[in-house]
Amino acid sequence: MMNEKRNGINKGAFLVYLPAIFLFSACAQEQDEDESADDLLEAGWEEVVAEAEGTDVRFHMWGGDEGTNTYIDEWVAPRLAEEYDIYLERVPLDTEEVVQRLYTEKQAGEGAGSTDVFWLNGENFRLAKEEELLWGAFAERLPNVEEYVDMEDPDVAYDFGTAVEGLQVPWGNVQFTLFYNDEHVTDPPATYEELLAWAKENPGRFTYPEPQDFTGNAFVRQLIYELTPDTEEVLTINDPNEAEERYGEEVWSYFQELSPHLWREGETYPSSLAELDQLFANEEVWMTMGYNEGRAEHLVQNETFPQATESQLFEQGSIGNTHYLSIPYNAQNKAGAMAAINFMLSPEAQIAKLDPAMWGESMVLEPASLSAEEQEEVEAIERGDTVPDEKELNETFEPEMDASFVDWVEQHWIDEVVRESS
Amino acid sequence: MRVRKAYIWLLPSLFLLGFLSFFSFFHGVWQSLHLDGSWSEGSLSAYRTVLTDERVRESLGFSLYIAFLSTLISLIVGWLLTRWLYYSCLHRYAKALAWLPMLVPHFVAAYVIILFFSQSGWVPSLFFHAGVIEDPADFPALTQDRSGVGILLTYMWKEVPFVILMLLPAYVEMDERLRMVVYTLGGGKAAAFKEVEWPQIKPIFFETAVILFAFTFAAFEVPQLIGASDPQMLAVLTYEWFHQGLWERRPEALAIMMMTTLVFLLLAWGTLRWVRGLRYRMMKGGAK
Repeated sequence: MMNEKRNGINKGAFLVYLPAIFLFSACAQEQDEDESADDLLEAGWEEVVAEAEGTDVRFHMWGGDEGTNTYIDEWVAPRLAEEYDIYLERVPLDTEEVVQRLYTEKQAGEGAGSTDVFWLNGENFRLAKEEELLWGAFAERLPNVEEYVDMEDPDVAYDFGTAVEGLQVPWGNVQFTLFYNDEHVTDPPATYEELLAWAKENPGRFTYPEPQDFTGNAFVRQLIYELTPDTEEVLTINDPNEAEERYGEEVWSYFQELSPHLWREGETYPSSLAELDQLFANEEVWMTMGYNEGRAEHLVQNETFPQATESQLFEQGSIGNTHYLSIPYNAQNKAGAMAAINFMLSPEAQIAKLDPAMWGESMVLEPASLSAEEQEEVEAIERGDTVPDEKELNETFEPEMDASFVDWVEQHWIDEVVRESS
Repeated sequence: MRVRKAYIWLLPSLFLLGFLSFFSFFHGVWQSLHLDGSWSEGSLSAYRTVLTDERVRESLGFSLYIAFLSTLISLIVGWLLTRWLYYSCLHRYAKALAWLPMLVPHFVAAYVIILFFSQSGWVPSLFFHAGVIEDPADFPALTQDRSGVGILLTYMWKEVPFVILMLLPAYVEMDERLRMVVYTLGGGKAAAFKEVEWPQIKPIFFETAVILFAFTFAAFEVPQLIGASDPQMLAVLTYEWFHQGLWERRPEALAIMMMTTLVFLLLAWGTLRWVRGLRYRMMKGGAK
């Protein structure tokens, strides 16, 4: 009797300990694939593709946009599986969480990372580069980058003021756009000054996300282009204190003046773009915005946004930025990552990305490098009524500022605009 | 023998939990002291900044207010509901219904409250259609409001069932004959409560209070979702500083977390000691 019981315990305990044993053995087999990785940067493309065959690629990306997710899940992943035998697994994660995780993995000396490809730009790129969390200059190794992308173009070569140096590959570019409900807004504001006047006439019908949010931050700093006639000067500044000294007073006094006329009298702000969208969808407010001129189209199509949604650009500067794909230093499947990224930069993938039914976002490929047939295909795509004209987009385009402006807005906005007025 | 067996089964998870918690705690202390660079860089500057920072002070006040109020309300409402459930002889399925909100994660609970109470939510539109208010925007702002009503509502909805879960067993175990003794000796309802009911639930009452207070003080997702831009609860401010820019403010964020941890460890330790004393005295049949 006694013996039997004891055996029972041992067997049971063994089962319980099993996961722990597993965990430790997983830690022990850390560093076996590191050497082959650096050779990949030298290897021929055929070798990379061959090595990538039959592998899984874990793609960590911000999951807050339905259109983007659909594009990856329903367009990119099935084709990668079919044409290259590569299995793309999309993992929705905020980019700052991805960078944090990589940093932790680096500190722990973890050679086998959990991310193969991730989506980033701006602040996150600067941080990842500074902390050496990125693999290396793989951009030039990709045939589609060689053929279709101009890595020297200043809008590509500098990501929010940080030199790209081949550590990441451009995936798309977007421009800041205001979206309004045409049923209520007859005369959409085209400048910040007009917006202020409009807000005064229509109290409670406009607001913007807190600058902790990517889009909200862009909305605040974009004002600088309207305030200053000298856009060249903006691009030379790379220190938050200098930004405060140069533009602080004007920017904050504008937002202080705007505040009482906003939704909930500026007492509080939506904490994310998704929250603002919700208010816009419920017609609690009459405008929303986006750091992607094409984002409203599928939201109108699936009836999330009102049918009367229209777009408006800021005449004196709508900032645009490029966003990128990169491979972490400890990616387990670097060959797969390279092949997947290369595929996402192919003309067919980039043209499909333009389709408003899914993502509806601009290409990063040089139009001139495409074949006549492909160019026709691009021409034929109707981006939709909610997307501004290409010409207008180009006319109002202003480049993104240094990432220190993002810091500056994050640090000061709450004190200057919210706490000041309370 | 049985006790020892239980420990063997628990050991792996205890080890993992303990190891991970302690490791991250020490790592946090390390970074908050700026020691991740080199020994010579170490300093208490993060703690100094945090202790004198105006925003931290305001957030601390707001966090204490929310944590105190939501704990108090949840305890009172939960306790009244427990008594009602216990004495009303409801079917046990009806009792199970009271625990339903426990199945819902906190962030979902916050969304539920937004769905019902935001100005474009169901309750305001119900009032609007019933003609009570002229415009849905006339409904008082109960979510993302500066006084934290939305946060309080969410915590109440989530924590009241927890209080019931903790208190109900105490009532089930209570010896009703003791109450009869009080009545026979000429005591009223108040005396029965004071002599029988309260001593029985008092230790659990305070244990639950500490758990709730610590949780609502330090949790992040609910105030992030349903709180106003300002005032911010301490956890939200910490999260912001933790991720901001090139992580320059990370030592300060960690300093806040380390101080919070320390205070709650002391509080939990003190309460547990005191409660153990209460239980011991109760077991011995009351020292009075």
